[in-house]
Amino acid sequence: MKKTALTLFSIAAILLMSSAIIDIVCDTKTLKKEGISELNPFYYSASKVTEVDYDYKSSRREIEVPLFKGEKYRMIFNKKGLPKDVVIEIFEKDKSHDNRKAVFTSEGSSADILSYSPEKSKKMFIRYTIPKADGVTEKGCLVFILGYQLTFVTDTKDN
Amino acid sequence: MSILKTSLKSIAAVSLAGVLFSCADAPKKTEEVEQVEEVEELESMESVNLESDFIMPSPIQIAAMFNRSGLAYESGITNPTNNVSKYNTKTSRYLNFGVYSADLAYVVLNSERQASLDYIKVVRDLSDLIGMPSIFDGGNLLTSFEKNIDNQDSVLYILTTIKLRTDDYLAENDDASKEAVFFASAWVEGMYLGSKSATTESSITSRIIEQMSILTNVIGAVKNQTDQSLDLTYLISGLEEILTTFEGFEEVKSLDSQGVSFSDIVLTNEEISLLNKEIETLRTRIIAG
Repeated sequence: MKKTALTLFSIAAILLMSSAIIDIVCDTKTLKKEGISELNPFYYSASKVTEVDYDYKSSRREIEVPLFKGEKYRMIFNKKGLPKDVVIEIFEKDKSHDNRKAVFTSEGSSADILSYSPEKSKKMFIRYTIPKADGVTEKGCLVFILGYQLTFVTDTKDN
Repeated sequence: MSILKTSLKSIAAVSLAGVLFSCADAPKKTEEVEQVEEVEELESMESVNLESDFIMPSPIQIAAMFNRSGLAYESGITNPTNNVSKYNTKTSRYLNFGVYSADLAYVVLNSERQASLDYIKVVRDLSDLIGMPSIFDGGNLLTSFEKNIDNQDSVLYILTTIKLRTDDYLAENDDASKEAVFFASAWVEGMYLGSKSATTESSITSRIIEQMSILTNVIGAVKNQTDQSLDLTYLISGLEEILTTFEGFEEVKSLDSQGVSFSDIVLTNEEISLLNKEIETLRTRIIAG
C-alpha cells in the first residue's frame, strides 16, 4: 500500500514538473508592447488579456467590442503566449444569431501577430475557439489590442 | 502572472486525478460521434462563461468624437480642480480620477493651455492618492506634458500613454475590474460636458445617443468590479436610472423592431432635456465627493 502511494506521488511529481514546463509564462507587458507597436498610426484605445485554459474539451470565448460610427479602428491579436493555436473570428452579430458569418478569421494563417481593420465601424464580436488539451491541462494567454484613429479637427459634417 | 501561480497550485491535484483516472481504457469513439460531442461541449462551455468580456472604449476617443461633432468649449463647466481637496474617501478618489481624466481630455482637445496644465496636475495628484504613482513615471510624464503643451499631437499621445499605463497597473495588480469604475465616471462627465456644450448646429446629440448603446455593458462591468471597499451603490442606481429613462422613450422602444439601429433614433427636445437632467444629477453626486 505504502509502495503504491509512493509510486503515485512520484508520478504526480514528474507530471507536475512537466506541466510547469508546458505552461507558458505570460509576459503580458511584453506581449502588449509588441501588439501596440503594430498599431501605428492608430492610437491605443484598450486591451484585453484573455487567459486561455486548454481543458479536456474544446471551448469558446466571446468579447464584445463597441466601435463608433464613422471612426477608424485597428484590431491587433498577439498569439505568442499560446502553446497551441486558438482560432480567432470576428462577427458583426452576437452569438444569438445562428447564421452569422465571420468578417475575419485567423484560420489558415500561421502568423503570431494578426491585424484587422474593419471597413464599417459598428459593434463587433470576437470569438476565440480554444481546442482541447493534449492529455494535460495547458494554459496560455491571448492579447487583444484595439487602436483608433485620433482626429480632432472640427468637422460638423460628421455622420 | 496569475496564470502560472494558479497553475502551480492546481497542477498537483490535476496530475493526481490524471494518474488515477487516465489509465482506464476509454471506449473508442468514431470521428463522427466525437465531432457531435464537441459541438455540444462548445455550447455548454459558452453558457457557463460568466466573465464580463466587454471592451470599454477610450474616454479620450469619446471626447475627440464629441469635439469633431461641433462641441463648443464652455469654460467653467468642468469639475473645479480645487474640489480635489474634498475627495477624502477611496470611492470619491476613484470616481473623480475618471471625472478629471474626462475634463483633461476636454480642455486638451480645445487647446486650453492653462486648464490642461491644471487638470493634468490634479489627475497626477489623484493617481498618487489612489496608489498608482507609476502611471506618471515619477513625474517624467508631467514634465513631458508641460514641455509639449503647445503641440496637441504630443499632448494627446501623452494622454494615451496615461491610459495605457493605468490599464497596465490594474492588470499587474490583478485589479482590471476597476477600469469599469474609472470609465463609468469618465463616461458620465463626458456625457455631461457633451450635453452642456452642444450647439444647435452640432451633431453632438446623435453622438450622445450612440453612447447609450454601451451603457448596459458599463453597468454590468461596474457591478462586476471586485473591490468590496468601494461604495458604488449610487453610481449603479444613477446609471440604471439613465438607462431606464432612455429605454422608456418611444423611439428607443422601436429598437426591438428589425432593422432599427441606434443611429436611426431621433429624440425630442423634451426627451434630450430629461436625459441630460439625469446625467447632471448623477454627475453632481459624483463630484460632491
